[in-house]
Amino acid sequence: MTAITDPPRADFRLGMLWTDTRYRSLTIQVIALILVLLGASYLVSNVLANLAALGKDFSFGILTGPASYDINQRLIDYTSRSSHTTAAVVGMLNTLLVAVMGCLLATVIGVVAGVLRLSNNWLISKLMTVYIETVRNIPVLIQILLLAAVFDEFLPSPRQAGADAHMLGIVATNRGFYIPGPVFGAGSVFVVAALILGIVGSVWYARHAKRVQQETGRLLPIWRVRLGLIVGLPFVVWAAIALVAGAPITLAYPELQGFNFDGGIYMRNSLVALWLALSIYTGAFIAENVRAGILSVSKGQTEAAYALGLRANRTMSLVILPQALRVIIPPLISQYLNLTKNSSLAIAVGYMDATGTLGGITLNQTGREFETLLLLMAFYLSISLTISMIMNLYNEQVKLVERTSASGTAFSFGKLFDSMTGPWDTLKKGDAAHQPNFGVASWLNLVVLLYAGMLAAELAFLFLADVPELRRAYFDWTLVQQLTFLLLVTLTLSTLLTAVFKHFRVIDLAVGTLAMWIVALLAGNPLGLMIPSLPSILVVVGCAAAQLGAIAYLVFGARPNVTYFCRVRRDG
Amino acid sequence: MKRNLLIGAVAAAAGMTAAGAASAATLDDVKAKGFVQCGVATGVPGFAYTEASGEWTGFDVAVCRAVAAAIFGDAQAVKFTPTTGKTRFTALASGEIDMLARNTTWTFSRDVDLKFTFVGVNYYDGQGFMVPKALGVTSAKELDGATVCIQTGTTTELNLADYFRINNMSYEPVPIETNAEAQQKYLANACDVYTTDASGLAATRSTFEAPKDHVILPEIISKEPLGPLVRHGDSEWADVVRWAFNAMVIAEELGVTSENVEEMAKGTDNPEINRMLGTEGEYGAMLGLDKNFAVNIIKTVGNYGEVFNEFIGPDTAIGLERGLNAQWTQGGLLYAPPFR
Repeated sequence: MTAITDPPRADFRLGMLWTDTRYRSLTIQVIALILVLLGASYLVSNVLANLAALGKDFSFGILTGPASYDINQRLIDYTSRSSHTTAAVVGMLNTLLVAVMGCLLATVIGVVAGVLRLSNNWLISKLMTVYIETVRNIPVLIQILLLAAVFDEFLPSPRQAGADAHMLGIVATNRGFYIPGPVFGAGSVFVVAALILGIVGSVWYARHAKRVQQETGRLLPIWRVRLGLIVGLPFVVWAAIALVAGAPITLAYPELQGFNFDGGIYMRNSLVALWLALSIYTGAFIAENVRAGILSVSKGQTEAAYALGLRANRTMSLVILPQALRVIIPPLISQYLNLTKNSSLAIAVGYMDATGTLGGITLNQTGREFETLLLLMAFYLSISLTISMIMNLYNEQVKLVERTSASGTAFSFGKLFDSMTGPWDTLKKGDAAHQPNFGVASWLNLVVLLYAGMLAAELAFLFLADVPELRRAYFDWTLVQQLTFLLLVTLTLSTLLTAVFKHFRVIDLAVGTLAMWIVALLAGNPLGLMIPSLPSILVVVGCAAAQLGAIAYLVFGARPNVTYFCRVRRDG
Repeated sequence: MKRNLLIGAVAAAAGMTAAGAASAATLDDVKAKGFVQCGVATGVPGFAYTEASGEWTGFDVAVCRAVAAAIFGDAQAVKFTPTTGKTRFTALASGEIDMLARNTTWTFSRDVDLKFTFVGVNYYDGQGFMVPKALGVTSAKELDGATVCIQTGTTTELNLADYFRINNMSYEPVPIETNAEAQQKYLANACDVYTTDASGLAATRSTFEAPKDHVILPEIISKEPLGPLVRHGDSEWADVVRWAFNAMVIAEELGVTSENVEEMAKGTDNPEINRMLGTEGEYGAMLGLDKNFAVNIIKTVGNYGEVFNEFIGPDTAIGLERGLNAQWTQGGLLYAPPFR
């Protein structure tokens, strides 16, 4: 730190870059930066020189050719004539599937095991200790292989299982698990509509109950009513249609046909083994995080809650866990990231994830190690960054807001309109004027829906529409088109997430998305083709107008929701 | 002072960039290190496997040993790198191995796009299917809906996709990394069918407890010319490997065996044998080898027919007939260029 009070009056000389302490650190940093850039350029030129020496070029063009191989588990349409890009997407979706399923199950296992390890019951807490210490200390690859081997060797083959091997409609074979699946018949649309209505109604009711409790202290029955809305309502509709016209939704049971079972939902052993092994392994780590979080809340809190007359489970859910979460979440993020990255061990059991398709068969059949591995790294990087972004936004919500945080003075697009909307104040949790929010509410729902729809359409346009006459393959676009479209996808995703988590930056990101929408159009991206059933011009203009509306709402609307981080219009 | 530092840094970086160009003379490198680094399969009975003593042996391994015998006169001067279907090309392209002799199919894209040189075909093969007899399947056309185990990263994967697509059948592929894993899955009935090159199927079946309970279906759905390969860009080294292999084939054609090669190396009436065994001309020197390089090969490894019969022939557990792999004079496809 220099203690200079006067502005430098002496003329600036070149030597001062080194001799003057005010400039020296800057000089050193510039030199270091140049060295880093030189090092990077050396690495790049070295790679290019070596590729040239091997007689190879650097091109992604190969990815647009037909893949020529089959993939057993695919969430989207794919045949062996589809392109390598589509094969890569099939693999990426498989990675995401096992990652999402794994994160959910690992969280459940982890929370249960973590809480039980603190149980006063000696047997239960010791059992959990044994589980955690065993599983944590065995490499996950071995656990995956062990589970797969157990499935292979101890479960019967479909023919041995025979035609009447149902146990509650579930058939376990050494190829996979077959479970009954729904078959949608005539009138099923009403049941699905009832289900959606039930879910929306139950969310509304939960908020209503919360508000009633906040205002009057009266507790409304929550779980009974919510369960009735979500399960009861569709069931009543189903039963009514079943009485009049026959069951609209029936269950299809797996039947032995030819070599394998047919019908119902088929979960391959590779998926189940990978999913369970990853969940059990990561669950053990999460259990330790949960235990640490709970222990970080002082015992006095529990005693105080008991003294107020709260029962044990309410003490846990209302007093301990909310405070424990801020300790639990940050390490939980890295556990989710670990699980996602560990899913690349899938090839050991023949699960076709991104590493198996793009980094496995495609790499092998095309011989483009460098390009495919770069893409694979980009994929894992963006998945990991997205997960960590989501979890950080969530962490913003649960963490204690202290006096120094959330100053909210940084520039935001919303500030430009201060003269029209009035100044915005920084509110903190705990401020009297601060209204707690329970999920996304009111018109912000529409904003979320808009950006979710845009993201889905963009991703489908980027990857899934494998129809050459509709659009050319991504790697055949011009570089500018590729870059602008990728940026558009990134910005749309960011806008969606910030809207979901009610971060005030949603305003700036929405403006950025609209700007990139226009830039992408100017770059020649046929954005109008994203929804093939609508006229192109309608899609382009309609979407831009909808975005403009969303921005206007965010800036001028009552905006009760964008409160975290926490800029809210000053009253009066 | 600052300027000096900067200039120094730039100069150093420029100097580093200039370094680094691949050396092309593989034969010299091999001679200098004293052994051939050869990529083989991780274990296919008959073709590449380890004996109880830990020695690598087999039909593909014999090609590596022939090259070592040609260069050093010692068939043991080989170090082996077991490679999977996925790792083999990277290992060869990166220079980790000098040559690859691992039932690898010669295809256009591997030859042209991956920049490898196939020096010949040591086994003419085709992709087949193996099923348990109990399934009662007699033709591959009856496999609609079957679960099929395949080794991932091989041409069989692509042939299989094409075959089922053209015949309008569906199937469930189970991708597997190595032959041993595939065998275990197949025997556990986790897949109905195992598909790979017909020779590999016969080899795998020979290790089963009850080989008679499994049938290889009559359909051969592809051409699979398997052969040794080297990197592009070093034709001299490719020539060494090519003619080490050709010497084995020509030796069988001309009736030179490991038993009589010493005798014949003293000189015969047949000038082609004389040229090959080094009593006439300087053919060894043209390759950069001793003039008796072929004698060393045939003495220590044997001719093509001897190697075939020893590892995979009708008298072995694998029990493969010569079929397409007979000499051209016997109605087969083995047709080595003349040694002249």
